[in-house]
Formats: sequence, C-alpha cells, structure tokens
Amino acid sequence: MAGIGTENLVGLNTLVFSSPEFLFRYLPVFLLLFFLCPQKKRTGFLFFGSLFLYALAQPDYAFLLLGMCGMNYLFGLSLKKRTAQEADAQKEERRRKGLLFLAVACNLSLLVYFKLSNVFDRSFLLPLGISFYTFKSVSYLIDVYRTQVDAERSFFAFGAYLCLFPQVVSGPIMRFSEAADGLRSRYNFWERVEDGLKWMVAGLAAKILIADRLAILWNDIQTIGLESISTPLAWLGAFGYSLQLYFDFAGYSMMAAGMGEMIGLPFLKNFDFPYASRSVSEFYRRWHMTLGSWFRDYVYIPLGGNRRGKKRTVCNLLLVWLLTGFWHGNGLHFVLWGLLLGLLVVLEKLWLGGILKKHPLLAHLYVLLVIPLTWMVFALPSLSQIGVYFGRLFPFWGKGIAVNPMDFAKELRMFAPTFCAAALFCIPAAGRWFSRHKKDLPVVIALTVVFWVCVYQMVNMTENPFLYANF
Amino acid sequence: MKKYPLLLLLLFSGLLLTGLAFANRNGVYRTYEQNRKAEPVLSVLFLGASDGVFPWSEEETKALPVMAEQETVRETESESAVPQTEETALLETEEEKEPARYDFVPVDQTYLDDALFIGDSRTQGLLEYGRLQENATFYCKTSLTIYDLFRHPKQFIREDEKKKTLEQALSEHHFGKIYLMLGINELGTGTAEYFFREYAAAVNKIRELQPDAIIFVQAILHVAPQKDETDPIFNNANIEERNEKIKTLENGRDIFYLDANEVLCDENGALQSDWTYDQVHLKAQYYSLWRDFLLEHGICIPSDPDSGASDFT
Repeated sequence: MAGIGTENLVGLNTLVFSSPEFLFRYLPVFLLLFFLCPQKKRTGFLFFGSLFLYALAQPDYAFLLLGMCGMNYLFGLSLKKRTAQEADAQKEERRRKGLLFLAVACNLSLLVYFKLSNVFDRSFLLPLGISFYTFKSVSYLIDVYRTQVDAERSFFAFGAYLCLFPQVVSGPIMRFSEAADGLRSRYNFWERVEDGLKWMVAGLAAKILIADRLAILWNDIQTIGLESISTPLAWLGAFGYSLQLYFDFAGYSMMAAGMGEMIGLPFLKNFDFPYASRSVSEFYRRWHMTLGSWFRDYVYIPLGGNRRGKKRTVCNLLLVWLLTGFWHGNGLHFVLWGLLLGLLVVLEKLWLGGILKKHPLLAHLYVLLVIPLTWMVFALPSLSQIGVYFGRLFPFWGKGIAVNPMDFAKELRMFAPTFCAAALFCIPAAGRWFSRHKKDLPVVIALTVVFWVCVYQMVNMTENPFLYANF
Repeated sequence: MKKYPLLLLLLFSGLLLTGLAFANRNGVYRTYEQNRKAEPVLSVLFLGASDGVFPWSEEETKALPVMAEQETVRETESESAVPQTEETALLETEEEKEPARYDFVPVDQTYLDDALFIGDSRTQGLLEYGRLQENATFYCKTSLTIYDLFRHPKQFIREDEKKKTLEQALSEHHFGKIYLMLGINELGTGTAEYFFREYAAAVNKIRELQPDAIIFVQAILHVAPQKDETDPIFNNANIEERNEKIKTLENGRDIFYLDANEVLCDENGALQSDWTYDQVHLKAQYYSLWRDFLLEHGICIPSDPDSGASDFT
C-alpha cells in the first residue's frame, strides 16, 4: 500500500508495530531505557533511540533522516523573526519569505525526487516514511514563519520531533506545537503506559484480526483473476477492501497514538469512524485526519480556501485533491483517485450537499456505496484493471470469463464473522463504549486475551514461512 | 494491580508464557527451536499451538518438522513406518507381470464420470473453475500434503455432513480413475527422498484400496518466473527434483505420469506469468487448459486387457 501503511519495508522489523520482534523486544527495551533516563535527557534519548530504530530498518536512509533534521533545524532558526526596526520590517519579511520558499522547496524536491525515482525504477527503495517526515518538516517551517511556534533551539528536541519512532513510518503527521508540549510535560509514566497499552492492543486487534484477515479475501479475488469473479463477489471484494484499508491504517494509527501517549505525547486522533459519515467531504474530515488538516492549513487556506468565489474554490479543491492523490503513491490511478474525490467534493459543495443534508439515510447509503467504488480506483494499479473490475461490479458493461457463480457463497462463508466484527467497530457508539469502559476489569481481561490471540496470529503468519505458503 | 491492571496482566502472562516456552525448549518445542533465533522465546508456544502441540503434549505427538532441517528429517525418517522395500516391492511386482502397456488417447468429459481428483488448492481451483464438478469427484483441500493422506490422516473429506479420512472415503466408494497432484506444500518439509518414499507409499495404499482404478500421478505444477528466481524453497528446480521421482512410478499399465506443465509453462519451463497473480495458482480462466490436457491424455483399458493392448515404446 503506497503512502498508507508501510512504504516498501525492508531490513529488520524494528518499526513494524505488528511484529513480535517489535512488541517483545524493541518496544519494551526502548520504554524501559526511556523510563530509566533522567527527565532532562529524555528528549535526547528519544531522538537517538528513534534514529537508531530507523537505522536498523534502513541503515542508508538514516543519514538522510539525520540530514533532514539538521537542514530543517537550521532553516527553522533562520526563519525566526529578528527584532528589527520598523524601517527594516519589510526587508525582513522579504528575507523570511524567500527563505521559507527555499526551505519548502528543498523538502518537497527531495520528496518528489525519491517518488519519481521509484516511478522510473520500481526496484528503487523509497526511504521509509519520507512522505510523513517531509510533511512534518514543512508544517514546522510554515508554523515558524507564521510565528505560530517558536523556532526550536535544541537540536535534540527538533530531531526527536521529526524522528519520533511511533510516527516516523506512517504518521500521524503531528504538529510541532503538539509534540513540543508533550516532550516538555511531566507526567506519571506508568499511568500513560497503562492507557497507551489499551490503545495499542485495540489497534493491534484491528490490524491483525480484521485487516490482515480481510487481506486474504482481496488476495483470493486477484488469484481468481478480476475477469473471472462473479458480480456479488466483486461487491464483497470492494466492501472487504474498504474495511481492510480502514482497519489497517486506523489500527496502525491507534498503536502509534498509544505509544505516543507512553512517551508523553498527547493522544492524536487520526480516524474518527469515517464510514459513519454522510458525505464524501465529511468522510475525509474523519479519515487520516492529520493529512487532511495538513492540506487544509498549508495548501487550501493559503490558496484562498472558499473565500474567493466559487470558481476559485472549485480550483482550490481540485488542486488539493490532485496533490493528495500524488502524495499517496506513484501511478496514474492515484491521481485519478484524487481527482475523482475532488470532483465528488466539488459536486457536494455546489449541489449534492443540500440533498444529502435533507435525507440522512440516503446520505449514509451514498457514502457506503461511493467510497468503496473510489477505493477500487485506489487499489487497482492500472486503468485496464479498473475497467475490468467495474465491468464485474456492473455486469452490463462487460462479461466475465469462466465465472463460477458459487464463488460468492464460498468467500462469504469464510469471511462473514470478520465482516460482522468490522461492521460493528465502524459504528461510533462502539468507540464511545470502549472509551468509557476501557478501565473496567472485564474489558481489561478481554484486552489481555485479545492481545495473545493477536500474538498467536502474528507468530504463525510472520515467523513460519511455510504456514503462509499454504497452497 | 488496581492502578495498572492491563500492564501487569500482560507482564505476568508474558513472563509465564516465556517461562513455559523456556522450560520446554528441549522438550516438545525442540524442533521449533531452530526457528527461534530472531523471535521472542515465547513464540514457539504459538507455533506449536497451531500444530496442536502444547506444553503438556507428549513428545511423540509432534507434527512434522516445519523446517527443512536435515537432522530432524533424518529423525522422522527413522520413525517412518513405511519401509523402503514396500515401494520397491510395488514396482517390482508390477514389472514381473509384464502385461500390455497403454498409450494416451483423447477422451471426452464423460471419461471423468468415475474419476477422483486428490490434491491441494491447485486441484481445488480445477474443481471450481475447470467445469468438471458434474463429472468427477474431488477430495481436495488448501495446503493438503501427501502426509495428510495416510501418515497423519486428516479428515479433509466432507460427505453427508461427515468428515472422513481418505482411507474411509476410498473404502466406501469405487473409482475408475484417480488423479493425484500433491507436493508443493511439502517442499519445505524433509528431503526429496523422504517425500518420494511417502508419495510412493500413498500411491501403494490407494492401489490397495482401489485395485481397479487407473492412477494418474500428476507432476507438481511449476511456479511463475518471479517466484522461481527469488524463492529458495518454492522454485522449479526443487519441484522438478520431486517430479522426476514421481515420474518413476509410471508403469504404462495402471499408473501413468501426467505433466500439465507442458501446456501451462513458458519456454523456460516456468508457469506463464500472465496466467497467475500469486505466481503459484492459475487464474480461473486458465484451468480449462489443464482440464483439456487431461482429456487429451486418457487411458482406455479394454475389459480384456490382452486383446486391446496397444504398443507402448
């Protein structure tokens, strides 16, 4: 999954949260050392510890990450407003603007360089999490420019922010101000660990028990061949993939937020039950929220947002979604996916939104139907495959080849329990219930059991190469 | 405990499980140990559990070793209840008879009306997409191995809401032809020699249970180029090593070797890369090629074998 989840992961499992090595070795050792570290030295430990874990996973690119820390630390300091006299204020503003432009250009060109290298040579390995730490850097630089945050004086503190091990691979894209507050705060370590653990177990279960299970369905569909699936299976696949993507990324984000809590960061919500939304626009305010708000604050609003007339608003929205598509990965289908969402968002803004507001039931059905269809454009890497899949979803567009009409019943029998569990946890009330009861003893015991069930799955999926190779 | 219940529960259960794994590391988990280098100690408990091995299990009930470690294989070999002579005995007695040998002839689909297919997920694919359901019977299951047939009999056959082993099912039914394709899941387990001994013993047992059936031992289908080039275990050289051995079972009279790789592979002998997504299984629309290959290779034995014998050179 490009952009989402993990990007071309190789090396050791030092940053794969759902691996036994991480859960039983790297994380506990890291936390123990962090706890033993004197309060004053903890920021430095976070920086070096995170960088070390990154280096174990991708040794070469650790220098890139370190370089990015250094570059943006210096840019940040030089973007700081100098106490200049009135007369020089304009000059100072020009200097800062030019510098910001240069700094952002440096960051983005690195990102584009690596992404394009991967387009031309698929075997080229992308630096782990570059999409995320570049965006964190840019947000920091702009915030310093806007004087919303002070340029960080301590290199270790800034480095820790950029390298934070729970966030470096796949976000959430935390703002510097949130991280800085957290890094400096004093708190009861063990209390935070206890709370963070609950989110970690919940996230692990979402990833291992739901997302990884549903991944088998999507794999089955591709093994059969897109042209040979029945129409009901094509729909089951679209729903399955939509849920898989959600539980994979939301699960990952919950684990990241949980670990963030343990090291003192504020709990950062990245998903807010998006499938309960009533429009595509709302869906993306509740899906990968830190990315959405990044584009809002650093692209959409500076371009004028919706304050410069309808035409400009439409252009701004389309541009933001085009960039969102590009950010998610290389390939025309990501751009197409972004534009498709942009069009839907524009349509909702101009016309559809009013109708959806009046008919809530219709609005829910619309989201549950349209979003899975857009995910198919996201998931399938070529236009011809997208064409074939839509031909199966809407069979009047094309005929299947060697279709077995019994395929739907077979797959449904296998995945019905997972679908039921997934649907349940898409309901906001389920989340509220968990937040309210997560301290109750029965819930704590259930979490313990769920944790070991996850470990069972994890060990048998990842550690025994012959068990996943079941033919 | 009141303040940090989850932390303490996880900590205690983790320590307990680690202790159990450590205490039994030379016992029931001995064969899993080699696998453990990069993983936490307690992972062997979970690996074992999926094979039905628990700390309280007797050591003998251990499932087959999961790694292709020479030592463990030798051990299992010595435990083997199938002496080498049994398989050679089968081949020798066949040779002594020296009756007619038969050629392959094209047949139509009704030929398979009394046929049985035994296999793993690839045969399952043939069932689902080969359009043979109305003719043939299929006893197949994803990840089925030759060892599951008789050595550690698995109840992988479901008939009339009952689960049966192959031996039970073969004792209750009569088949005219039996097609067998197994061997890819076994690549990571034991040596080719050990695999073949088990394979020959299984064919022998099937012959015993179905004395009139023509047995078609099918070559293990190859994998596609990408997997062939990168996978240290599931590659075509390893598959071919075992196919060569399977081929020796052919006697031209009632055991025949069929190699569908002839029609499914590219010029380098790898599964056509466009015909598969996962490098191992055919996409649905290509199962018909396999079926057609089988129908091109029927064996017709007249009721009096001597009168209708064709030349087989």
